[in-house]
Amino acid sequence: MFRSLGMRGIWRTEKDPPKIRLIDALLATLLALSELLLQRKYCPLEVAADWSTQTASRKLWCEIPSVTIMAAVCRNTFPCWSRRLQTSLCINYNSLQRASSLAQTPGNQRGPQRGRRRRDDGPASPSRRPMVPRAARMAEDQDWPSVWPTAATFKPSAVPLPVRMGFPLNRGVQPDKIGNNELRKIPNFLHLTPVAVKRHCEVLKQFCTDWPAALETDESCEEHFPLEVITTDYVLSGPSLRHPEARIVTLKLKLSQLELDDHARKKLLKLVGDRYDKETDTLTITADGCPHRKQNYDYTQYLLTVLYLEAWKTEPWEASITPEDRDEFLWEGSPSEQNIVSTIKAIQEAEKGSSDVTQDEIVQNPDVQLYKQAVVNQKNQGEGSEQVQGYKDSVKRLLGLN
Amino acid sequence: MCMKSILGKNIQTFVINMEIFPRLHLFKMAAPMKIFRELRRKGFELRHVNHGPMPITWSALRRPYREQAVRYARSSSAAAAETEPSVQTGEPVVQPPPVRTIFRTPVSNPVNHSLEQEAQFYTIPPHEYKAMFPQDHGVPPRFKKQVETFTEACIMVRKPSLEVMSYLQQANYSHPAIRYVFYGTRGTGKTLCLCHVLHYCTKQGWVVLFFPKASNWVKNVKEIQPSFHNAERYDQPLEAVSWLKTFKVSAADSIKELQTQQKYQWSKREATEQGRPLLEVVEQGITRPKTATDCVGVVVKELKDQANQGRIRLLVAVDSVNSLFGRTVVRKPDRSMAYGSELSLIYNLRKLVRNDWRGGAIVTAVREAAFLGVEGEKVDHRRYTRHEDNPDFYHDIEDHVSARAETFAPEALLGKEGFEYMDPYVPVLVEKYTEKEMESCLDYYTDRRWIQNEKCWTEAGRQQLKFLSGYQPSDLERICGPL
Repeated sequence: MFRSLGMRGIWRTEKDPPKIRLIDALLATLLALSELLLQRKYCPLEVAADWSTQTASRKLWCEIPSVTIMAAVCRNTFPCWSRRLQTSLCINYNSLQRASSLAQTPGNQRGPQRGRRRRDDGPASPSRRPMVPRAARMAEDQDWPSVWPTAATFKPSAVPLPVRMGFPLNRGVQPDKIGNNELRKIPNFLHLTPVAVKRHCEVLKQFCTDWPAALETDESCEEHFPLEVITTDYVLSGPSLRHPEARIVTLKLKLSQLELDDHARKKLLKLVGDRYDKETDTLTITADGCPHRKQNYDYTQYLLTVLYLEAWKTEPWEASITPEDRDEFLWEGSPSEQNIVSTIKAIQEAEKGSSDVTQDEIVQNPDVQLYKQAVVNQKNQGEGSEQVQGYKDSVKRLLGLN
Repeated sequence: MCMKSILGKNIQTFVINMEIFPRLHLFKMAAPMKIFRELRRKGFELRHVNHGPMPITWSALRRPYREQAVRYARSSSAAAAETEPSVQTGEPVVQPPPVRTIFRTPVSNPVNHSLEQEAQFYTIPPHEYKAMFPQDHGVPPRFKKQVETFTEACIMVRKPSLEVMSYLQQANYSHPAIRYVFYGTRGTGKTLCLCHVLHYCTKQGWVVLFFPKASNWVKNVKEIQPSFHNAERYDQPLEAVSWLKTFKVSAADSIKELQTQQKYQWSKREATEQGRPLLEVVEQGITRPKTATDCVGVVVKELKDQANQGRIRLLVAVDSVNSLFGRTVVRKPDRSMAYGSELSLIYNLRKLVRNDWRGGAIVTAVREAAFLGVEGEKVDHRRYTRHEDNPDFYHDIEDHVSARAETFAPEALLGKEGFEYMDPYVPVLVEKYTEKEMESCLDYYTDRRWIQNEKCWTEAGRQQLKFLSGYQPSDLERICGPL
């Protein structure tokens, strides 16, 4: 091919070699390229014609729309007449995608230069040139669920996010995603983006029925279905399909849904202990003692029935309840009541000489009622600043201070 | 990436300039740590303490702190301060700038104190101070040092003490004695408010029974002995003698006319007849430590009776009243822990804070450090018992205590038993310094040359001091120590 172009003849003269050399190289590579394009059915974008295996070669870059041609010409070959020029064409298949998204190519962008290769020219061989990671080449409006369709270990080149994880060393910042083992260890949900979930749902919709119209709000759900039974199914690929955790049954119930009077409610709370959540008024019963889910479910039903029936019973020993047994503070009959009654009696004795009011009259006094409320608040709601202030105000009012 | 966009709030970064407080970290690391925590609770992020010129690191470059930082400008101290040549060397001596506010009041009688004098310092006359607090008995240890250094005892007139004084004025003394409880977080000045009220009552001619740090009677007790007349109880002769000694000095004037109302038999041979001066009982206790605890009981009983009959006005002032209730850390001879009411001194003191007598008032303060925990709670007592008198020795004891949930509310500190015993009481909250009080205090420290660093006299320095102390009186005093 080259012989026909008469390259040897041209290079024999040392006077003005570069211009001709460049043109010849271009022609040669273009020809090779066209052949390749005809024979094979793909579109290589970088065609490199390398005449040499020598190290210090000079690259000539030509930008042709959609085609980048690199011709590397070895200077050492010029004086060698006898040596046969070796031609090699390197085609980078990956460059197909690269050129579509990348306007820039790495390395020197200043065009063809004379002299020795510069440091910033980039590696001579295109295969050694650093590849632009896939993440950088991704379009902004790409279809992410098809990039990351299933659960997979984190792969930095495929995730176009500036994720960082790990311990910052030397007062620096956290390590980034590339080569970061910490990110590979943790599970990710990159396959469960809102878009992906939405698509799943779209597909699953055909298998679903309509939501009942009467259960539109959460309140109506709670009203019609006060019992909430929680079980967990496990899907796993293993020797057995059974999962031991699948037997556990949790029963949840709002206590306000049960028909209880004051005594029954307090007794039930005593019986269930920490299974009752005061904030949400929820009773939670969990059964995991039996090997099967059905058995555990039956047991929760049994427990709930027994609790309810026991709560309504009044045993003879319940009469001997002490203030310490109660969950909340009762002012009636407490030392606080005795204190205030004796204090007010002493005040009235000091004013009138004798006190003939009964304890009930003192307690019914509105100031004392206010004081009672303040003490009960302080005892039952904890000592916030409002409670202390309320207590202070009521005491001041009782003792005639202002 | 902007922190604001991530956290959704603007992070204010404060830079403490270590050039102004160069040795701060050497002295009290506890105080800044506390402030750090406090600030974080408030939502400030304290990122960076600038130790003067620092090498530029990558991490420093990456943080755009110049935009976020509230940097206190380097104070131009030379411009603000006046310069006068000193007598000895002839070199100019930097003088503090003239203070801008009136921080001191000439009214030294607390009876005349009103809201006009609020946030101003008044001086207790030295002889009255010595009489009230013989050997600085009862004042906080840091205040004691301050009195020695400044050679004057100045207390700020603050709202809580004025409040209690107004209650004392309007109370009807034919009614049962009213109990007042000072409460507040650590180091806000509850004890000094108590001292102020004490001074007020002394000036009114009341008989004052001052029990400073009742917690010392339930902790760090050197020796106990079974009671002379009741085998159930235990006496603390050393504590009783030291209290009687101070009582003898502080109440010498007010009780000199009082006489015993019955005969007291101390032992087979020793007895005090009816109609003898009450001071004789005090003397008896001091000379015979064995009977000292009983003497305290007799004094308490006599004074209560006399106040009931209207002969005297009695002020019972108890600091850390919450240690009277519940358990103690005193070991009985059988190695079990004594309960509060098993100690004679505590037993007598508890009788005093009951409101079954009239003609007086009971002013108390609750302290968190005296809190021994509720029954059944597992606590390390040493944390609260050691170094209580000497917080300087272990400056991080406050940190230890505040690691717990903060309980300073009176009902929580008194406990169930204490609340049943003290109820009804008037809780009086002692808070941190207000802006006015802070200015006044800084002026006072500047005036006393307690703050000598001229950079702290500038507005920027004062701002930093306010910031560092967080308006906490005790913290301010500690931070100003090395300045």
